[in-house]
Amino acid sequence: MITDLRGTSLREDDIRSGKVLTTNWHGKIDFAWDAGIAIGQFLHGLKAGKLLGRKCHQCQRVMIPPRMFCERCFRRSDEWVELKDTGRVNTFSVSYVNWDASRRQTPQVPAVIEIDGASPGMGIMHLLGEVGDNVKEVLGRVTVGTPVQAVWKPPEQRQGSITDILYFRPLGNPGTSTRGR
Amino acid sequence: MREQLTRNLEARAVHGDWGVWYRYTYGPAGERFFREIKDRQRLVASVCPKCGRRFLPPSLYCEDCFVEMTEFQPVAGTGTIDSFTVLHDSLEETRLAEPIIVALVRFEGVTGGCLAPLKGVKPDAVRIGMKVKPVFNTQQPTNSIADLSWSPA
Amino acid sequence: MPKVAILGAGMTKFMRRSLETGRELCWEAASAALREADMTLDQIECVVMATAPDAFDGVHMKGEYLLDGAGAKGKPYTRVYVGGGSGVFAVIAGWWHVASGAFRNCLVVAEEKMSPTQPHPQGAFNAIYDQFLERPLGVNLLWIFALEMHRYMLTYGIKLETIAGVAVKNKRNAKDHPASQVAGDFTIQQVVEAEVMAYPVTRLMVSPVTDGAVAMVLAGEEQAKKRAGKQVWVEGVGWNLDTSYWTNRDLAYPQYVENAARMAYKMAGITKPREQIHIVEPYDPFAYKELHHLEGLQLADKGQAPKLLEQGFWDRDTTTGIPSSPSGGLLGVGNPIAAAGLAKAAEIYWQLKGEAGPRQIKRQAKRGVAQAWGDLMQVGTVVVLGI
Repeated sequence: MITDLRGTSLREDDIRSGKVLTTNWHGKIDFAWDAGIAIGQFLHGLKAGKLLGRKCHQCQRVMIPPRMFCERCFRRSDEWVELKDTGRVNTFSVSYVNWDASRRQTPQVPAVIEIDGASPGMGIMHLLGEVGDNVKEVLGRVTVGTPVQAVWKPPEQRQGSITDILYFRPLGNPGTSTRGR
Repeated sequence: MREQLTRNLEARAVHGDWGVWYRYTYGPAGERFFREIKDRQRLVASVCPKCGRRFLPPSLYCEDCFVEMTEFQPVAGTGTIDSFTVLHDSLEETRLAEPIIVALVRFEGVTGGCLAPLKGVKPDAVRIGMKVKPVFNTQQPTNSIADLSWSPA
Repeated sequence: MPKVAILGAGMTKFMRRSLETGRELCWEAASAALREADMTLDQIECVVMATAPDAFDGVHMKGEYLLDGAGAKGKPYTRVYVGGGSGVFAVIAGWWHVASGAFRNCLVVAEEKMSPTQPHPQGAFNAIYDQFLERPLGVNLLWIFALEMHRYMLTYGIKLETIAGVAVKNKRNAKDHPASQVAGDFTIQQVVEAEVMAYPVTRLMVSPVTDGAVAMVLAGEEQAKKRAGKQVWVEGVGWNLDTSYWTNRDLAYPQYVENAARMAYKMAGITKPREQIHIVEPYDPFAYKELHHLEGLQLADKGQAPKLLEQGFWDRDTTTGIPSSPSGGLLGVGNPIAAAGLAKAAEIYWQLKGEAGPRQIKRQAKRGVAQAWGDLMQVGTVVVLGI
């Protein structure tokens, strides 16, 4: 039986008005993450306009994101494989929220994209672009299996980051390859 | 996994931060503690109806008897330094202009104690067992433990 | 296998922001559980704590910070943490303590205080994403769920209106739960037309930010047999984690839940889940996820849980189906991340004992399942309870 229910519920206004005292903490917590061997090389590849995968000779999987060990065979992976910069949409969303839950006027279209040249099911997350400005438009242009191609930043603007790819656009869309080396 | 990076420029560190900050409520007992400091410039302890101990800072429940504490009593008089330390470096590891003395102070007949800066005395004059009294920041209160400090009694 | 029973459970209200600190929430839930179990703290031999990211309460080493409120001072104390899966994992870990013979009883506590995180707890979740390949894209927590939900819908041709039925069902069920935060009567249309957060997720399809705590007392046969009446026993436990490379996974089906369920069912001697399980509390932080989990729990074929929903199979007062989330779940009662799972396990316990009050299901139940999920959408934790 649920009895003795305790708990003092507060409204945002109780805090703002000072009815209840609070204390704030803005801890300065910064990080410098070592990219590691696999991702370090992957980011290096992005700067050069390439998507790199890693192959395990035992299970024969070509994996992206690349990893220096195969988590299935539990052994070191064996070779780098240059993948294509095209793929197929596995799933997608139309997001009106920023990282901090604040609202966006125009949506972002995040997607999981299975990259050509990697084993089936090997996807990465990225954004889709040139697919419309609202839910209806996006649903009209994208579905599972839609072939897409990466749109790259010009070589001189790349930094060795996942954002060196601006977004992926549907292959049917007009426009020339922006890969450039 | 023995691939070596032979070119320094290939070693990559990616920078980022935590992003969020925090706003803490004090809870029913903590709320009372800070109200008493703010409005009446005094410390209060909570009293356990079962074991009779008085707890500073006050708590909603006695951690051993596990029963609710609803009675609060002021903690009057002077406290005793149980331990102290002298800080010379800031959190950012720079040298402080003036060292800060932090003291854990206990009161007779009260379980627990409070940690706060000790002012008005030079570091080499501080002793364990020294008598101190609480000083409350009423000028521009922060409504936090930073409003409490000690000075020699 | 040594037998472990549940002697009592307790909880706090589930609130958007509580005055109480995390420790105080633990004490409120723990003392309520002890009262129902008719025990005092000094009789408790060990304590298990489930609490999810330190990043929510904003207290490092949160397990240690909470232990005084959980009655663990001076006792053997263990914290378990698998994100949202923790609340059910706490029962599993409590079971280890007692079934091993090392302890005669165990107090299990689960807590979450998310409200301190500013500007919004969603921001703390940001760090769940890969710092190299995902965070620079400006990710929001909801993306993962929206992407999974959309894959599920597109794989099986499930309509948004159908999934919305879970939110309607659970928010209505929660009207009978005294601790609930977001209970109410809603229509399918209201749920579908609510503000789009990350399509296909609308605001009414997401569980809220919640502060709260739940606790439970487990005990071995020696102690349980001295009690009057029938006891509720932990008959099976299972847990399983999938890869953190979530973009390499089949998002349409929670394999990790199936793996955990099979482990728990084997232990409980369940060979025909759809006949031998009479009530279920699957983890429902999002409307679609309850359906996803019901399939992983082997209670419906892949892609079929939505059809059964439309037929009333999962309704609380069904006599031919399997009531699902009779408590109102996370969508109706609230979602204090780790505590929510334990609230689900507690609901199965109360239901089996016939003590669920206005939420009591109509059909007879001798065996029920509580399941939780979390981490990077990768853990399945399952307990089978029986009377």
